[in-house]
Formats: sequence, structure tokens, C-alpha cells
Amino acid sequence: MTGDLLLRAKLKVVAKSNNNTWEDLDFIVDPGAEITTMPAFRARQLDLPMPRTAALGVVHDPTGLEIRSGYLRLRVVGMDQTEYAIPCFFLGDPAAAPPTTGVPASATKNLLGLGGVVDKLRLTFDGDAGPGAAHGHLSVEKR
Amino acid sequence: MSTQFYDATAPTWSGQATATYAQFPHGLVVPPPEIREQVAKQKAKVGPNFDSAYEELTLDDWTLAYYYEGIFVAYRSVPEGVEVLAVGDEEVGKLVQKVPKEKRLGVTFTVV
Repeated sequence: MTGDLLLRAKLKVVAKSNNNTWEDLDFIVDPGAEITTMPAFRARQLDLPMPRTAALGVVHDPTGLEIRSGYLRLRVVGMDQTEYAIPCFFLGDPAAAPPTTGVPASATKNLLGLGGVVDKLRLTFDGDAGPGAAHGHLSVEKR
Repeated sequence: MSTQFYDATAPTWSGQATATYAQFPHGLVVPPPEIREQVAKQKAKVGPNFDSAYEELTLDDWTLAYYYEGIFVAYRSVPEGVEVLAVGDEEVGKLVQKVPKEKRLGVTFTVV
């Protein structure tokens, strides 16, 4: 441990599965990501709908993983029941577990990117502390 | 783009580095003393905004990071710490397939 404080903003959502169950997931809100991503194998384990075929010629840099371009249907925990369909790149082979080491975080984490999100949700980072949020807030508002 | 830093001295990357996910702690996982110490330091530094709810959230988050950093887990918060129901994508998949949703309320799937 270095003693430094590392901050991240996680958004809790429920995502709709093929069986119409709502699965509790969280995403790291990543303003540096152009689009939302999650491993395809994980989406399959959670029975989330995704395209059967990978996009032709498009791969994830720097891993070279194949991409399935689909949508996540989700609600934001703590907000109203609005269901959002946000574009998502499902990374890698849905039938193969992602490697556990030597893979960049961008390939293994669930990242909420900007594309297809900021037109639906206003996301505001604020370092002001408050009760229950000692290091600041991520505010999420419906647009 | 998200970056990642690992604490190579934490169990995830040292003693457990060669372990299979089945060998990682399952069930009730309580915060280790060093995590309690770090959280107490932060609490003293930050002041009243570091309330009991935030303290619980931080203890859970840092405990998960201590044992499972970078791993996809299914867990729920309990008064003593966290209850870890599945470690790794495959275990999570089995949990989703075998346990009906109504029996896993409050369970969150997260990459630590």
C-alpha cells in the first residue's frame, strides 16, 4: 500500500437478461472510453443478450479481441424505472473465459463509456464531500 | 481509458497468485486488520462526512479489493463484512444458472 487515495466512480445498474430477469451490475464510469464495454464471456454468464457474430474487421486495441456490437438494456439503481438501451461492445469470445493476467483493465472491466449514454444521462463528477460521500459525488440525472 | 494499479503484496497477487478461483475465500469475508487501519486513518483525516454508511461502503470495497482485485465476483454486504458467493466469471455463471433470482436478492456482480 502506498497510502494514496485512488478514486473511481461506479454506477450501479440492473441489466435485463434473456430471461427478463434484472441482474445487479456495476460499471466504472469512464469518460475516457468512447463506448461502453464488457467481456462477452461475462455477458454470456449473466445471460445478457448480445449479437451472435462479431463485427468484421473491428478489434479491440491493444488486445486484438473481437467485438460484438450490441445493446445493454438497463435501469439505473436509485432512479426511476426508465429502461435505457445503451450501445455496448462485448469484447472477446463469448465461449472463452478472459485471461486473468496480462490483460489491460479496459478488456476485463465493465466500463461505461460516453457513446449512447451522455445523450440519455447527465453524468457530473464533483469533488465536494458530503454526508455519505466523503470524497465527492457522481451525480446522474435523466436528460 | 481506465487504468489499473495493483498492490502486489495483497493476497490476490501474492499468496493467491497461482490459486484457482475455487481457492479464493468464499462465504463470509471480514475486513483484514490492515484494511480496518487504513479506513480508520481516512475517517480521521476526512471528518464527519466519512459517516457510518460510507465507512461500511469503504470497508466492503477495500476488503474486496484486498482479496479479489481485478476479479469478477458476486457478493452482498452483510453486517460483518461481505458474503462472497462466486469468484470468477465461470462461478458467477453457475450461480446465475442454478440459483433463481428471488434467492439471490441483494447480490451484486462486480469487477473488483
